[in-house]
Amino acid sequence: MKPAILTRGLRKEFRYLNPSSNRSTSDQWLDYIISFVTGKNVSGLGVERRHAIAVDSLDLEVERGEFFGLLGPNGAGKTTSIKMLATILTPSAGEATIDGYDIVRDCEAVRATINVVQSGAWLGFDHNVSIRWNLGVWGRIYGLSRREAARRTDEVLEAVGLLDRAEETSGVLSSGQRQRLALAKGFLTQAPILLCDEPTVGLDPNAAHAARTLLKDEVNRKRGQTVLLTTHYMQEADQLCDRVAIMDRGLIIACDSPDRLKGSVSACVLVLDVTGFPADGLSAFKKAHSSWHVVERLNQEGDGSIRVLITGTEPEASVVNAATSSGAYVTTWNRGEITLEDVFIALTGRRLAS
Amino acid sequence: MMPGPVNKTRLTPRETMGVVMVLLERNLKLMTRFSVSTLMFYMGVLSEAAISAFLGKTLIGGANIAQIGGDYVSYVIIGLAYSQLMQTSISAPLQSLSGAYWSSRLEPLLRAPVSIRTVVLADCLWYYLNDLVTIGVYVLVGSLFGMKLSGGPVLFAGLGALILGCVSVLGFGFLSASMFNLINAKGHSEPVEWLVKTLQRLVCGVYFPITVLPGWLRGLGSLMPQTYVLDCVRRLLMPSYPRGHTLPVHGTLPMSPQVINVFAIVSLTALILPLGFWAFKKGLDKARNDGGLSRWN
Repeated sequence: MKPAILTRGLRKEFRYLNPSSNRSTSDQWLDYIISFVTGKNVSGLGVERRHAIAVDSLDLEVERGEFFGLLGPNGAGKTTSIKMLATILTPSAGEATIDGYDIVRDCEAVRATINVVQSGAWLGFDHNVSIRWNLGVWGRIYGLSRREAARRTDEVLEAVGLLDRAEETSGVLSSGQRQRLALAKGFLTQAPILLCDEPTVGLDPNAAHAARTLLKDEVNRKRGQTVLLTTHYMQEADQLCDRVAIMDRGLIIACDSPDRLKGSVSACVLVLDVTGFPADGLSAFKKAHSSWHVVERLNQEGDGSIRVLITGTEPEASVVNAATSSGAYVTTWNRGEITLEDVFIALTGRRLAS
Repeated sequence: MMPGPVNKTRLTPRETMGVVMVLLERNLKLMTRFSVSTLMFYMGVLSEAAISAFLGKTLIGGANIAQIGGDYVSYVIIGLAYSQLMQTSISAPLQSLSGAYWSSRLEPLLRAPVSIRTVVLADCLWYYLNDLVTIGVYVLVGSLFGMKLSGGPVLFAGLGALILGCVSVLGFGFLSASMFNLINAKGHSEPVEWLVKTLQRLVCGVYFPITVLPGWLRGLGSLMPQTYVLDCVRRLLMPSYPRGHTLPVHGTLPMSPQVINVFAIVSLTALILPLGFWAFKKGLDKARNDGGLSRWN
C-alpha cells in the first residue's frame, strides 16, 4: 500500500530581492525591474539579492492513519514543508507524493486529498460579516451546495465550541477563538489527509486540550484520517504523535516514536530541590558548566528547583557538588524524565524555544 | 462531529456558477456594510458627469466640436460611461487579487477546486454590475443636459460593443494583476494599470477626438482597443456622430470605418487577452516559487 505522504530529497530554496527602506513599498517595483534586468544588486537603490534554504533534503514517509509530527523551533522549515505538500509552494528540488499523487504534476488530485488547518491569523474571513456567513462562503467555494454548506458550518462550529458565536464577526474573536475557527474551516470538507500547521498556537490550556482531543480522537482514531502536524510544543508532539520528526534549520535530524527518541539520547536529567541559591551563584554555576542545560524555578530567595540536563559522561554527583559549591543548599535530588525538548537539546545543543 | 462531505478535484460547471453567485453575493453583502462610502462614491460620479456636461454646454460652437457632430454632451457622456467600464476591466483583476492577498484568502483559494481565474472574473463581474449603476447616473445627467441617443435595436448593438469593449481591455487588467507577483508591485503604484489608464484618458478619445492630438500620440491611441471601442459605440449610439473617417486607420483599408473598428477590437483582444492570462499565470507561478502568495511564510 502506498504511504499517505512520501517525500524524497524535498528542498526549498528561496531566492529573492530584498528592498531596503530607502524607497516606499509602493515604489519598490522599479527596483525589482532594474535589478531583474541588470542581474545585479542595486545597492544604490537599496535592493539586495538574497537566498535562504528553508527546507533541505526532506525525507519523510507517513503511513496511512498515522499521526505524524514535525517538531522544531521557529524557522526550522515546518511551515514551508507543509506549504509544499499543500501545493502552495513549488519545491526547488526533490519529489513528494500525497496518497500516490505527485505534488507538482497532480496538484488538483493532491488538493482533493488534503485538508489544511493554518494559523488563525490567516483565516481569510471578511471581518465585517458573520462567522457563519463566512464559513458558508468557503463551503460554497469548496463545492458544497448552499444547504450542505449551511449544515456543515453549524456542525464544525459546534465541534470547536463556537456555535453560540456564529452570528458575530470574526473581528471580535480573541486570537485563541480565531485559531478554533481555523480548525473549523479545515473541517468543512473531509479528505483522507489533514495537514495541521501549529493548530494550537495561542490557545489557552483548556482550548488546546480540546483541540488536541478533537484531532486525536475524532479525526485520527474515529475517522482514520492521516494527520501531519507541525508544532514547536514538545508535549503536544509527545502526547499526540505516533512518530515525530525533529527538524532543525531545514533538516530532519531524528525521526521515530516519541518513546524511542527519548530512549535514544545518551543523556540524563537531574532535578535538584534547593534553598538559598543566590542569583550570582546560579549565574556562575551556569557559566562554569555551559555544556549542561539548566532550567531553574526559583523564587526571589533562591528556593525552588533546578533541572539539569547532562549530555556528557559526567557523574550525577558532580552536578550536586557544583550546585553546593555555587552557594545552593541541595535538600534532595532525583532523576527526571527525558523529554523531546531534551532530545532536541542533545542533538543540537540549543533549546527548542531559542 | 459527523463526517464531512468529501473534497472535490474539480467543480462541475453548475457548481462553478454557484461559486460565482456566492462571490457576487459576498461583494453585495460587503457593499451594504459600507453604505456611506458607496453613497459618497455615487455622489462623486454624479458630480463628474455634471462637470463634463456643463463643460459640453460651454464648448458648443467651438471649431473641433464639428468633428464630433456638434453634440459634445453625448460625446463626453458616452466617453465617460464606456471609459468607466474599461477602467474597471483594467483595475478589477488587480483589485481582486490584491484583496485576496491582503485578507489572506489567496492561499486557501488556490487550494480550492475552483480556478483562481474564475474567482477573479467573478469579482470583475461584480464591478461591472456596479458600473451599470454608474452608467445609469451618467445617462440620467446626460439626458438632463439634452443628450440624444439612438434607440431600438441599435441599443442592443451598443450592448454588444460594450461587452466586446470590456473583454478587449480585460487582458490589460490581467497583465496589471500579474505585476503584483512578477515585479512585486504590491503598493498603490502598479505601473501597467497606471500607464493604460493614463493613456486611455489621454489618447483614446474619451474627452476629445484623437485627431486633435499630435501624430505620435495618435499612433499610440491607434494601438489601444479603447480607441476603437469608443468610436464604435459613438457611431452606434450618437445620431449626430460623423459617418466618415474619424480615426487615423479608417482611411487605410477599403472597408467601412465600423468594420475596421470591430476588426481592430477583435485583433487587439486576441493579442492582449491571452497575454494577460499568460502573465497572470506566470505571476502566480513565480509567487509559488518565491513564497509570495501570503504576507508571511
